[in-house]
Amino acid sequence: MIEIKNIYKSFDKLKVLTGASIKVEPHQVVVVLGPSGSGKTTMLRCINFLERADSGELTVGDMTVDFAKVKKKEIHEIRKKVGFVFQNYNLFANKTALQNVMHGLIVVKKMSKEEARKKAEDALAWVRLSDKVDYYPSQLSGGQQQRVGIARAIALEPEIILFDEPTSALDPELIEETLEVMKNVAKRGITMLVVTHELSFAQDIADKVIFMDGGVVIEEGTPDEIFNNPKEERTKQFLSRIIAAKSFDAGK
Amino acid sequence: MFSWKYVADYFPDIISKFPVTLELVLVPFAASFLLGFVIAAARLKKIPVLEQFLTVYVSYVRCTPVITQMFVVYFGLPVFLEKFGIDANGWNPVIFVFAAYSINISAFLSETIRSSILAVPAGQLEAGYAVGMTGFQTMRDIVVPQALKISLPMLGNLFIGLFQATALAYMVNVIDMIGKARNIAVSRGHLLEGYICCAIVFAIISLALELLFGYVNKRLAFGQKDEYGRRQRTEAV
Repeated sequence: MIEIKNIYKSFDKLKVLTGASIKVEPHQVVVVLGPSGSGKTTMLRCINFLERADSGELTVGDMTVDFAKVKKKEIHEIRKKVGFVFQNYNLFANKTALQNVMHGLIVVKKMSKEEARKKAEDALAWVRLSDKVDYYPSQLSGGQQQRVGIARAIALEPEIILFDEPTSALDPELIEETLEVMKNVAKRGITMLVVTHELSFAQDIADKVIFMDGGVVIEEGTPDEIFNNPKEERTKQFLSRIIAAKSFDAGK
Repeated sequence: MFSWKYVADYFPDIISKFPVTLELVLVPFAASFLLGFVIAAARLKKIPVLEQFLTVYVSYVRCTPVITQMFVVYFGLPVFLEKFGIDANGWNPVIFVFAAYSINISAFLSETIRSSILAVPAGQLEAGYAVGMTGFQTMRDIVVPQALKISLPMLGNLFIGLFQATALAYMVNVIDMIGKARNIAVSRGHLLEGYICCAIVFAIISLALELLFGYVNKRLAFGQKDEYGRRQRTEAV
């Protein structure tokens, strides 16, 4: 379970998060939608302290911390409970696909090398990259790199995996393979919090969709409620614009 | 009269001092590497007072010729140590050259290390944190190896530069290869031959070092580039 209450964050004078609250139950897939600048990515980054929120409360599993006075040790503990998949993959450039997955298992989870290797090979097989284990990130396509990123997150068995626009740096054809893997992650019952612009993913997979704008949550509900019966004017506008853009892309 | 015969005659004498040159390179370089790392870390961490002090230190070293630094240390250090009751007058001059070159190279190395660490994308550090590693673990396993790779061409230049700069050590009475050539010139009157010997040794060693650094650079490629800087793609997509 993960819960954020009343999170605030500004960069100098720019207020990015102004009191957003969200909750993700175990085994849930929650998708966050919203225009750029609405604070979705910042909120996600605040959860594992890649960004420091100014105030608010964060609960991950059995740990609750106050953003304003969280200790270094608590940050480290929370990061161990939370997996993160980056928009631009951020694989360790000096390590092969296999080493990328293994490294955290050895250094953080204190596994033996053999155990970690076995686990990493399984995770990579699961994202269908068994033939690429010894490749360095620079030798992999974007879609393959992102799948390694997902394998790296899964192998650590976190309580939740955060996905920060995992497909937005990818070519259209590579988006599909990545979404496919994400769907499999969801099927495994792993708790996921996903920031994305892929409406189809939200529609098919999400248990809950959250629409954010201006640093707060505007509306939340099931995919059906959000896509077919949005209550808020702002949600309707956003969806109609995104759908118009998509159909333009598709040449309709 | 110049004669190749004398070049051949003096060669064994001169090469016998090669270990001196070698230690003039290795000791300061090793010391500078440690010192340079500490300086870079202190400046990157922005430790107050120390950071400002080190900034001045680095720019002093970078703004003055290495030979003045060597004389300042050679003549200045004994005076300084005297104040603490240490008599440095009988010390082997090699020690002053070690100190002077360590100061010099550490400043340049610290800048190389600092800029190379800054050149590693921030996402690499974030990925380490996201995996649950501590800042130290991420630096040690992810950032520093990549920074090392970035800094390698500069490290190679500095190393070869230091190797050649050791030729100044004779000026404070260290008998290295150049010192030996000078002694030969004085005692036997053949000026050029000894220096030709030195030139040959310096050229061969520098070339060998270049090859060595090129090889290490290739080994640290992380699958990225071949020796000509082209991307290696075993398979497109």
